[in-house]
Amino acid sequence: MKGSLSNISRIKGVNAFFLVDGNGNVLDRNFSSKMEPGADKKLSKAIAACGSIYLSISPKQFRYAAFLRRNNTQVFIFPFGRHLLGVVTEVGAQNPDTDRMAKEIFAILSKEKT
Amino acid sequence: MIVFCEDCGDRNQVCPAHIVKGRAVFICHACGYHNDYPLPLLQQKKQQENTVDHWFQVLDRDPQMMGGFIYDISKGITVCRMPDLLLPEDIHSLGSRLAQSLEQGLLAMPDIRSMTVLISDKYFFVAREKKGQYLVLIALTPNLPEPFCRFFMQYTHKKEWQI
Repeated sequence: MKGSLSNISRIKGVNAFFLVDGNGNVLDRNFSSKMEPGADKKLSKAIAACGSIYLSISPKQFRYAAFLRRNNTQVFIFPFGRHLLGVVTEVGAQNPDTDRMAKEIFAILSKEKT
Repeated sequence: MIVFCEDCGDRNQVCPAHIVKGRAVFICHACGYHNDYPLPLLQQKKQQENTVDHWFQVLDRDPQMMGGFIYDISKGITVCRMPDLLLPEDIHSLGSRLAQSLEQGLLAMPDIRSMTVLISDKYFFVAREKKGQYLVLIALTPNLPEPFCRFFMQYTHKKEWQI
């Protein structure tokens, strides 16, 4: 696990996270509950594909993206150096607090960069 | 919107295409009666206030809203209210890339309802109404201000415009 990146799993509401390269290869991962077989591979490919599109819109100003799903879980994508970080939230939150969670992840990522 | 059959009185849900020049024109789903009657003025006003055009007209009245547009894969930008400094080709390119990224996400997670992207200090809220057509609203806040949030949710739930 890369330094303090493992602290992401301690954020309230985080279920899993993946660190992926530009091709969707998983460099690091952490799940607190099991995912469906094959779901992590699909997800890591999507994180890489979407991340590269956001970075093509604005390579320096892209902060994060969040997908809201019908079961109220969210999937975040953050740029992290030359890689991308995907964070999956837990099922159950009625009003997902996207911004609060994003800020907490940012704080960890900025520590990791310094 | 909800209208009632003149013949049997049954409730009918109709889309804006069935409101023609202030008249409700529809065939009752229960009895098959061909209705064609004027709507009360209040109902007409509410119906106008719930159209996409209306929401785009009032976008710049809220200081937290930066703009918005609808991107259609085959037609390009069909509705637009964006700051003047952006060129039409920039908006088209932005719409195309946001649509591509939402589609990539949908491949892995078909139950995605919407997508938010933070670029610089601007939040881009993206939803797909149907395949190939996307609504993009841009705000300075992490949550869309009311009533735009309601408008966006209607879009994400793929509901017909309702009063």
